[in-house]
Amino acid sequence: MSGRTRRRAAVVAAVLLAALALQLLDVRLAASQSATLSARLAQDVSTSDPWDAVWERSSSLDLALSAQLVVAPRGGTREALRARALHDGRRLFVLLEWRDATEDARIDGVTAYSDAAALQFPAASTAETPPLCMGSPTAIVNIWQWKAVWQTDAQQDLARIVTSKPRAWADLYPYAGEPVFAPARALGNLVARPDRVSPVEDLHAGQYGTLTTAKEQPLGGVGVWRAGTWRVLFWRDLASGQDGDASFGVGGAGVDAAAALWDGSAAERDGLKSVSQFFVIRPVTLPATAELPFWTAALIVLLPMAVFVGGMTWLARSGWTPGRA
Amino acid sequence: MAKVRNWQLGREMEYRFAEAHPDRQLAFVFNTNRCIACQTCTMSCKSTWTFSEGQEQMWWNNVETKPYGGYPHNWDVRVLELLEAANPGGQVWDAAARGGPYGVFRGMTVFEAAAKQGGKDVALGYAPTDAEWSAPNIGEDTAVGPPGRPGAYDERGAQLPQHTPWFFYLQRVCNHCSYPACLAACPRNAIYKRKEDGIVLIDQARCRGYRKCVEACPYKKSMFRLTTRTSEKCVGCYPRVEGRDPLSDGVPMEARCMATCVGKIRLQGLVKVAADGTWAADRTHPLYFLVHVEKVALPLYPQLGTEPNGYYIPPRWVPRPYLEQMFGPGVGEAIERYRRPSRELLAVLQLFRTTQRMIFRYDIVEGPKVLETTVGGRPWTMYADTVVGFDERGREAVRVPVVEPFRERPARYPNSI
Repeated sequence: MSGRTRRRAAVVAAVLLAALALQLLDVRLAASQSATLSARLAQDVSTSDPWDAVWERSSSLDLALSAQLVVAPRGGTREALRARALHDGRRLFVLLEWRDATEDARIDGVTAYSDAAALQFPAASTAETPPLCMGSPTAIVNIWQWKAVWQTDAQQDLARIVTSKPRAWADLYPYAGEPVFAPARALGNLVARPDRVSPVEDLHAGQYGTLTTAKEQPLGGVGVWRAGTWRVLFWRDLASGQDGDASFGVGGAGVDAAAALWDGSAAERDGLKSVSQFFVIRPVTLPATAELPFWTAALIVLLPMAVFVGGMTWLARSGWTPGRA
Repeated sequence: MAKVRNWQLGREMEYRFAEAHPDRQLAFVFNTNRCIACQTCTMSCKSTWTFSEGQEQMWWNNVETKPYGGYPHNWDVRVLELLEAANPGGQVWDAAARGGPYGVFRGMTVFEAAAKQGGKDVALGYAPTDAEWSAPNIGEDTAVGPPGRPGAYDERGAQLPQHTPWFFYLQRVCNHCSYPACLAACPRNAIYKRKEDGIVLIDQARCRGYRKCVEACPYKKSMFRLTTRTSEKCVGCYPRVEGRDPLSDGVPMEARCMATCVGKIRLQGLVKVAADGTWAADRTHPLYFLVHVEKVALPLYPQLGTEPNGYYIPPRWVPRPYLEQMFGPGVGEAIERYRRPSRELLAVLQLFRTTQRMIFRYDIVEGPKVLETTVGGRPWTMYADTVVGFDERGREAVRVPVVEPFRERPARYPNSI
């Protein structure tokens, strides 16, 4: 074996050794990109605080966003999003995180719009992969939407003029309380409900223009804006009995997902949104562990190798050769 | 985008949906010459539909003083500016061209301008702010000053036929357009136009409050309600149009704003629509007669391209260029016919706001000649005819004389009732 061949073999062996170490340690280097987001097992996910430390132990996936340009109204200004996921054996948790300098959580004027985020999955009943743009009549999509204003609604009744316009005055509202005079509410339109308690909504669509609120609302959600960053957590039971909903299994190939963001201060709503491409959310049996920073992971791999190589060199210099005691 | 025929423009135009016309269309004629801006229409609408929380700034019917007034503020100037910016110098009519009753519009509609700008939206528009929706009667009774001296007194103002200082009242409700921009712009397909009467409605169960209709409607007659977070608009008093009001006796009845008009400026009805979207010939229907036979009533800003179904008899004292921008090139002829009305037109004009029931046909009972005079230097004769209006079932709904009976109270009863 020539010296060059020996050196090549040594490099290949070192790379393979490093790869094996990464695999055994289930280390995903933070700088790497993948279209699959593993949802690892964690029993202590907080449903009230999306900034909880448990998320430091989850996998994450950085998604590039682009403006929705397929159908009018077209637009969208957000450029990036970080997605994380966990599950506790019963429920799937998906956390979306993005930078947004303004917290647009009130609709208190005719030109005020809310920040919002959504996830889209193929309905469990759909055999084919639906088009990214709101599915198709034969490939229904399940949409989970969160709105910042709904988050505010849970705390104060913005749907009263006295709340949204504190300086407004009216002598009298005749027939106040008769549902027919707030027809959207009388018809059960979820966006018009004065007693909204959840900031998320479960919806189904089979093409753009067909988005419809699901009969059952099995979703949970919470969003918290902190120093220029939104963190929004969605959760739902892995399985859902509702027609049109997505379903998730642990250990399978995963489920296609896409994300969308709206920036209220840019008057974004409906098709004016920033969307990701499809990625895969895959619940796995592996427990959630802290993600190792790149250099820590590199040290774990490289340190034993350096010790081995250094030791061999020292032995060779000292006149020791294998097979000679 | 589909190609549709817009007869008001005398040509085809781009629209989001293919042509589909209702069997009948709710339409109305407003005689701006008669309006006194008493706002009775406005208040009757308010007290019927928009008195609830969240509707404080919502006026489905409003009467604004032109040129300075506007609800929302400057709505028409804003829309015209957007169109001019999209098509500089090109927003012109060719009145001599054959195409429609007003010639051919060579400029761009709100749909075509949006397409030219990349198709980001279905219709060119803007979203008025809270401030712009407030003070709905801003500019009331404010006349233009002499040229170059705004606000100054014009000593030579009162000159006919066109005044130098002028204002007039523009009455506005939803035009229940044939090609509604609100409907085209709704990404949720929550807005629909009814086949039976062409009334345009927002489905309050589907609306998610995106306010694209508010942006797109060039007349700004789609409005957002903060308390339900949905958009609402004029419903055309559809229960009355359907004849379901207890007073209507099962036949179509005029909307509240029409029926309460003190100045008798309003006439509303249902016209038959032909397969090509034009009005089916109906010679003795008062609206057909006013719009298509006499052409004395003109659509409001037809160049916007939505084919509005509200028609206006233009105010005769206002400078023609202003009116032509607002009502198209038919203004001169319409005013001339209104100033010197034909015997039939004078009779039909008496039908305005005389009955709550919609009039589907009129008949004229001829009377004696009562006056010979000149109007604009030309001879004009007046007859004491009587006009009779018939409801949907052909029953007599109203009978009005052209010449009001004149009775002199005897001197011995000077103060009695």
